[in-house]
Amino acid sequence: MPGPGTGADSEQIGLASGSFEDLPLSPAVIRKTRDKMQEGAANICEVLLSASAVAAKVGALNLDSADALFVMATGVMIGTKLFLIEAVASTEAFGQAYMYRLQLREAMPEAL
Amino acid sequence: MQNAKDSFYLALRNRLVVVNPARTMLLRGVLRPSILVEEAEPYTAKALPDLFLLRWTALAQNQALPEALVTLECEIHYVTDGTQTGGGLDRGRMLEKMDADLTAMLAPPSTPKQDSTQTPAVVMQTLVFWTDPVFTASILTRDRIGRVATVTVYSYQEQGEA
Repeated sequence: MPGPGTGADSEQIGLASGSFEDLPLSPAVIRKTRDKMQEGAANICEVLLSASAVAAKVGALNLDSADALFVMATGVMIGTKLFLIEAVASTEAFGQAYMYRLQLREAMPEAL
Repeated sequence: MQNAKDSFYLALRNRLVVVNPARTMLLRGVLRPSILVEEAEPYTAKALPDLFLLRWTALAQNQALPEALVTLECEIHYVTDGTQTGGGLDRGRMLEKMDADLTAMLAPPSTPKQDSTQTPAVVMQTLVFWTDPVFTASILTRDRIGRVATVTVYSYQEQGEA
């Protein structure tokens, strides 16, 4: 997660990157959704997150919703690899989310 | 050319404060005008509504002049899903308001170029100037409506400028 910004011009134009902090989320289940089929292709996987764990972080950060949390997140670290969030979906029961599903793509340079 | 990009963004941001002071967003814990440079912010999977997103695309240089003229293309993306109180049924009106805000922000079509790598920023000798925006047709994505405005930004490379 990006740390709180200072509002300085330098942060808004990419001169200063600001600080980042880790936000551990558990329990989580990681599912590989596609095998690496060709050299250089990014890994794609899916993470299932407990909604109560997400709700606790949303409350701790004074955010409006889980959506806001996922929009703010720079990515998801799994082991030593950074993954970017491609899509977010929630599964609900009785109008209450009980699980979030994140589709992730490994952050790596892509050939043009 | 980075100075031109920075100056263009800062000019539009400062003008937005005057044009529509209520158009603000909370980003990285900071309340600021609803405009950002895509390449200077974290990647997001979903387009954020009710803000202006600047995306720099094409680049050209004319070296035949006494000072090289840099031409940069800037796409300004914006989408809205209307207001919550209006149930989203006012999204067309909100898009029209964003069109009007953007048109006002882009006038006059020039701003002094400044070097923001120094603190405080140093005003340079030339201006950054740009064309009138070219708006695309509105783009509908489910309950969202948006548009892209393209502006060509010009800047002379001053001596010693990277």
